[in-house]
Amino acid sequence: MTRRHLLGAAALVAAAGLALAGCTGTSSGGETPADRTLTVAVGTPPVSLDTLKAATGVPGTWFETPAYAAVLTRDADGQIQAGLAEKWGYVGDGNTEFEFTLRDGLTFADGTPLTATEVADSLTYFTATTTGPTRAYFAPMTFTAVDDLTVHITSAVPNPIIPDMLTVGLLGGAPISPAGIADESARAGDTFGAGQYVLDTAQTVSGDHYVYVPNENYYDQNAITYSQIEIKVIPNPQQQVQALKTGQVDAIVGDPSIGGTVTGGGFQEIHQPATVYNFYLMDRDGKVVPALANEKVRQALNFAVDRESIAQAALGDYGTATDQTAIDAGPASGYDAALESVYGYDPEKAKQLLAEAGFADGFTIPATYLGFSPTDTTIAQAVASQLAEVGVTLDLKSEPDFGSWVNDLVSGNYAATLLTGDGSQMYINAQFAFTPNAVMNQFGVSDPALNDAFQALATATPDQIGAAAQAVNTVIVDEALALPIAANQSIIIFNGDKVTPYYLGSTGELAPIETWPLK
Amino acid sequence: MLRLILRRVALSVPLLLVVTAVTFVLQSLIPGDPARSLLGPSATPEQYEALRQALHLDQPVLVQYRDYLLGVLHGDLGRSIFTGEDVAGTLAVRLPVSLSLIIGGTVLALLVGVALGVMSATRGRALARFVDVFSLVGGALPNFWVGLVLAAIFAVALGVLPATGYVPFEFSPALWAQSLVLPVIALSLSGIATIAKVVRDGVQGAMAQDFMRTLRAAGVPRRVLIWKHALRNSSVSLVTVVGVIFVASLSGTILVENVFVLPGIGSLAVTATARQDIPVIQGIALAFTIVTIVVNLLVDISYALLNPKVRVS
Repeated sequence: MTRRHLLGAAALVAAAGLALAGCTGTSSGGETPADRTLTVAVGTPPVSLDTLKAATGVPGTWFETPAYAAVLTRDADGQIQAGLAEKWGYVGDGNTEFEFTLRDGLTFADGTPLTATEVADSLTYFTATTTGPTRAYFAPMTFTAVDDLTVHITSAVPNPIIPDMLTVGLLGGAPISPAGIADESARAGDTFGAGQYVLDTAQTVSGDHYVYVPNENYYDQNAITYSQIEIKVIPNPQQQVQALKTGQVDAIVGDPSIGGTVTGGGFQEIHQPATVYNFYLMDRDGKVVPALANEKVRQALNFAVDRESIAQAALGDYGTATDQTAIDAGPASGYDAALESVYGYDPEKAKQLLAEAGFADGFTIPATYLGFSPTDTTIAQAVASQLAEVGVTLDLKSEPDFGSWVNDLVSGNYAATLLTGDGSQMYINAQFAFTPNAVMNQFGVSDPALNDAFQALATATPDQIGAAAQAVNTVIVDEALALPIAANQSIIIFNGDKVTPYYLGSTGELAPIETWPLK
Repeated sequence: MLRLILRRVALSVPLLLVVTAVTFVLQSLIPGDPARSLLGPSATPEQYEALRQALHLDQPVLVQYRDYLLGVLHGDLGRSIFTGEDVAGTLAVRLPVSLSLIIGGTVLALLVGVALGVMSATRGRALARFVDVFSLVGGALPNFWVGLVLAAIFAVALGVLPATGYVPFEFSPALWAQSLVLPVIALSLSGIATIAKVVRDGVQGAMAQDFMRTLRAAGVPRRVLIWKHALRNSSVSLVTVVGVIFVASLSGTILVENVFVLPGIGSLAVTATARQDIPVIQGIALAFTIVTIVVNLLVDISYALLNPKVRVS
C-alpha cells in the first residue's frame, strides 16, 4: 500500500464519519416546534416499575406517574383537585371515615372498566401486599365499594391526610388493573394503570431507557401533552450534563456537583428544599447505648455539631443547616423558623450537658450509614469528627449497598443511622421516624409527649393541621429525638426552550413530569 | 479440522462448569442481601422471609447452584430479581449492542493497527518511533477517559456526534453507526497500539528473512512482498493478539458502555452487580464465557488455516 492509498483510505473514513454525522446531526439545545417528545435523564434505574415496590419522591415516581392515574391530583398550587374521583371528603369528624366518587365511564389503559370495585380492590391489594415505604400509612385502612362509583375508606386510626394519600405521590392511590393485580412478576417490567401514558415495552430496555406513549383510553385526552416520554438512565452527572447540552435530553435531576454549571443557551435550573439529612437516634430507650436514653445527652449531641460547615462541605450552595427534621413546605410540614435557633454550635454547652447527665467521659454510639453515597459519607464522617471533640465516639459502619444497610437497621445492633427524610408532611415524617411503629424507630421507643402531639395532629381538622404539626415538631426538636444536619435541595436542570418543570406552590413538591408544560 | 473443533467444544464444557461455579461462590461471598434491597426497611419479617423463599435465597449455595444448572440445561437462565424479566431475553436484547461495539472496536483496531504497523516497519525511523510512543500512550490511557474526552470534543464542543445513547440498526442504520463511532474509537485505541507494534515487529522480522531476499531478487514487487509474504508470516501472532484484544474488550466494554450509556451487557453488569441481581450476574458470566470460548475456537481454527503444521499435529 502506498502513502497515496493510505491517505485515500483515511479520507474515506473521515468522509464516512462526516456523512454519518451529517445524516442526522445532533442538535445542541434547540428542537423544532413540532417536537412533542419529552426526554429526561435520571441517575439510577427504578428498583421496580411495580408501584408496590417503587420508590417515592424524585425521580422514583417519574417512572410511575405517567402510567398510573390517581384518585386525586394536585393543582399548580399544590391544592388537592379531582382526579379519577370527582367528589371526595371526610365523613363526620375524627378523620377516620372518608368517601370519594369516581367519574363515570373510566377504563384502565388495557380497556378494562375502572369502577369503585376495581379501585377498592386495588387499594386493598396495595395495603395488604406493598413492601414499599408507604406501607405503614396505608396499613390501618380498609376500602369498600359502596356502589359502582363510590368507595368508602375506614381508617382504624385518625388520619388527616387521606386525600394526600390518594394522590399519586404515595403510589397507593393510583389503581392497578385486575390484570396487573393478577400478575405480580409482570408489574416489575410493565405498567397496568389508567394514566395518560403506557409503557412501550417494545421500545424500552429495562435499566437503560423507558419509553411511554399516550394511553388511548385515558379519560381526558386533552390533558396529554407529549407524543412520547422517555426516561434515560445516565449514571454519571457529568454525562447527564453532556446529554442535556447536546439536546439528547430535555431535563436532568441535578445534584450539588453540577448545580450552577449549565447556564446560557436556554438552559435553566430550579431548586427547592426537599429532604433533610438526619442522624436518627433510634436507641432512645438506651438498650444498646444507655446514654441515649437521657434527653440531655441527645441535646448535647445537637449542640456539638457545626451544621453550617457540614452543610457547606457536603452540599455547597444547595444545603441549608437545620436542627429540624421538617422542611419549609407549607403548614402540614410543621416547620417552625423559630426552632432553628434552639441548637447553635456550642461544644462547651454540649460538654456541660454531658457532664450534667453523668457522661463527662464520653461514650460510644454504633451507627450505620449508606457508604456508597459520597454525600452521606461526607456528612457521617464530619459529624463523627465533631462529636469526638466533645468526647463522644461515633463508631461508623459504612455499608456498600442498600440491602446491607437494611440488615444493619433491623439487627438492633446500631443505635443510630444517617438517612435523608422527607420533611414535607409531619404526619408522615413522625410515622417514618418517631412513633412507636415507625420504620426508623427500630427499637420501638414510645415517647408520651410525642404520642400526644401526634394524636392531636391525627385528629386535626384542615385548619388545625398547621399548629398541630408544629406542636409535633416542637417535641421532636426540644427532646432531641434526632440529630438533624442539613436540608438538601431537589435540583432540576432543563432546556427552558423546550419544557417548564415547576414546583407545586404550597407543598414544594416537583410537578409530575407528564404535567410539565411544553414550550 | 472437524476433530479439532469437536475437541475444543468438548473442552469448553468443564470450563463453563468451572466459571459458573466460581461465579456462584463469589457472588455468595459478597456482603449484602438482595431481598433487603428489594423490600427496604418497611417490609415485615414475614414479607422478607416469603421473598427469600420465593427467590430460593434461603437454600444453601450448592442447592441454588444445582437448581441453576438444571435450569440452564433446559434453556432457562432464570428471571431478574428486580425487574422480573427473563434473563435470556434480557441478554438477547443487550448482547447485539455489546457485540456491535466489540466487533467494531476489534475491526477498527485491526485495520488501523495493521496499517500503522506496516508503515512503521517499512517507512523509516520516525514512524517507528511514533508507533512506539503510540503503543505506550494507547496502552496506558484508560478507555473510559478516552471516551469522556471524545464526547467532550465531538459531542459537546463540535456537536457532530451523540454523547450518549444507542440506536438499534433496524431503526436506522445511519443513526446506529453514528451512535457507535465514539465508543468504538474509545474501545479500540489500546488495541490499535498493540496490533501496530506486533505487526511492525513481525513485518520487520520477516523482511530480514532469507526467503524475502530471494523473492526480492526474483523481482517480486515490494507491495506484494510486504502485504502478501511478510504480513502472512506474522499473521499467527497477529491472530493471537486479535483474539486477546477481542476477549479483553468484553471487560473494556463495561466502562465504555457506561460512559456512552449504551444498553449493552457491560452496563447491565454494573447495575446487576450493584443490586446483587444474582440470576442476571450469572447470565452475564455465562454469556461472556461462551463468547470467550467461541473466540478462542475461532483463533484455533485460524491457526490451523494459516499454519499447516497445526492441522497435522
